[in-house]
Amino acid sequence: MGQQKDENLSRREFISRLLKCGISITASGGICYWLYDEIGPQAGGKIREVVTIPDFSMPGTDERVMSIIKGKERVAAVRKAIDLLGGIERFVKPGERILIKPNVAFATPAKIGATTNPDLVAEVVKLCYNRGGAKEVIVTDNPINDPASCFNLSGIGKAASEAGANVMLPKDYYFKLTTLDAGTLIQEWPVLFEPLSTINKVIGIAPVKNHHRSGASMSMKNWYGLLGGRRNIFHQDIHTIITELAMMLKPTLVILDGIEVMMSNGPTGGSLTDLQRKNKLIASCDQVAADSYGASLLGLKVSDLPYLIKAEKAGVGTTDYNSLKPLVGEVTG
Amino acid sequence: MHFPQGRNKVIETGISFFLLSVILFIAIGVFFKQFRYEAGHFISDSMVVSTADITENNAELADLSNILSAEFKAMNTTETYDPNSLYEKINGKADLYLVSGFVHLTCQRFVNKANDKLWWELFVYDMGSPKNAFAVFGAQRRYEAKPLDWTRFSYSTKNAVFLARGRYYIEAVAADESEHLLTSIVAAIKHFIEQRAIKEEQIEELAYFPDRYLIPHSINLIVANVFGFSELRNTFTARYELDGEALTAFISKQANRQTASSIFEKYYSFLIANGGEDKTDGDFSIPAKVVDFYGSTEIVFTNGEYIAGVHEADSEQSAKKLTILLNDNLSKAGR
Repeated sequence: MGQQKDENLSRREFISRLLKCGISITASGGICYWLYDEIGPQAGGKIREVVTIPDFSMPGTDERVMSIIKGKERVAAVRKAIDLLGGIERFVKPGERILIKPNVAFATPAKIGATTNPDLVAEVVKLCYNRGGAKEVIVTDNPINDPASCFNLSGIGKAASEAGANVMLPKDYYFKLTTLDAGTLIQEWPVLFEPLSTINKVIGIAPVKNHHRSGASMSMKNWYGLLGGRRNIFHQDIHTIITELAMMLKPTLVILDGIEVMMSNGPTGGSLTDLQRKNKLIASCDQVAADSYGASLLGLKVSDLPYLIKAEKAGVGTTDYNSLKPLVGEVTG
Repeated sequence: MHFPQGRNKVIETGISFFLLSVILFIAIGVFFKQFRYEAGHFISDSMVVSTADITENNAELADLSNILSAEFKAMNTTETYDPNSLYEKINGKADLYLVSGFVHLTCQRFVNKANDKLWWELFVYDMGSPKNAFAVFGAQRRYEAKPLDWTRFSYSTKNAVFLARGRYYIEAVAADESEHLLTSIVAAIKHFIEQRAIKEEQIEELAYFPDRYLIPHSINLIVANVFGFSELRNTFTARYELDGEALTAFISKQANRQTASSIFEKYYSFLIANGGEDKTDGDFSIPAKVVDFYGSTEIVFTNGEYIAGVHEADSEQSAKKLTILLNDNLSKAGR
């Protein structure tokens, strides 16, 4: 009977088989479509959401934009620098969450000046809490080297924690894609967004350093530590990426440490002889102005650092820091 | 329509089920694997410290802790970096090494067992050749530093030791200033060199620079774009002080006389094209081109397969004096 059935396929049997075949093909196609990943794998895990980084700069017309302090001692200098601008209370309101972005790029000792001085970070954290009434102060960076080693060996992790800060080491899920509309390099690029997503103000704290590639690493270059992914590709167009970083991150305040300046062999340095005492510390609401002054500490002109010119043209700030009538002070000790 | 019968049908059905099972197995494998991809296979995550393959040449560097004295211990395992990952360690300075032929970096941190503030990090850069190692050594030289007395291209500062030996450029950076720590570091590096029998190799060109008027420890190797001229590469420079004037001598070995002659002509043309004024005269004993370049004197000549000359001299007289000494040295060496 079965043999006869196989040899003489009935219409019902034929349609039934055809239907099954069609369902199989449709199901296979459907599963493939369901599983199809049109973006493809990305570094840092699930970071496909494209985010916009808020503007953290201070609104208003306060003429106190920049201060320059002469002094040997960082803690006293930063207090004075911020006080001249109206005190931390002008920038930090009670109950606010503050993000402090130091330069923690390398797992190197604080003394060689390749990273932000830990005492400086601790003092700003304390000011935010004690005088500004901040609810939370976050200290974060995405270092070049292993983050835990960098925060540990630079002394920044310990100093910030002891001052009460929440030290956030980067994790995969902290990164989200962002695009700078007016930019060409920062296009759907992963940035350290999670710490930025819950805060009200951003304070950058960076040392003045010679930089083999860009000429100088200061406030604007410090935002490089917010990038994720294979960011070294940007070294091919270093002046543009620094400009775009400054366009991307509009800080509330930047603090530029020129007390001891890495005059050569940057950004890593290594020898204490790479450092030279300049005894200057700058606080500024205008990061371009701060870096323009910082350039002079390295013996450079504004024209030696194309990213300053580009940033000025992009409306980020002014290279003519004197036009801001910087408030000048001095601390002893 | 013909359908298989009996035993054939069973076999074909079996094969079909087998093939479908294989396809299903692969599909399940792909399905689960795609959720566990390794990011490093697609794009390097900057937060992951790279552990690049250790090449055969660098296998001996895999563990550096055996160079330590009993009072120190390793803080971490060795980290290794290749040309693709070097930026993860030194970021913006990676280019300096990459253009100089960088092959591999091994580094490790060590700490004093009794005092955890006394720690230091050793960086061993395999630069592929003694010349390459010398190039990065010279480019980062701290002139005020003190040379070590047991190896030629070396110096120490208050917290660090730097040296080029064989194909290696070695840095050791201490967390603090400590005479004792620095002494321990130098001993460890010495041990490292002895263990691996890294010899101090001679670099031919260095012998051609006249000793007279030479500023000690001022010889460097520029690997690319020398004096802004892209075709002049791998050029040794040395700083001189002559009759109260500072000037630079240079020597660059080319593949042969013809190449040397060709690049010599192009370099001369480059100087003229960029505003230089020819000051060559027949009285000078060496067939060299003399160019006034915005107030400073440039001299360039060839000697065999070498291009040599003087760069940025304050006066033509000093430049010619040094050129004669340089040419004599090259000639004595049989060039």
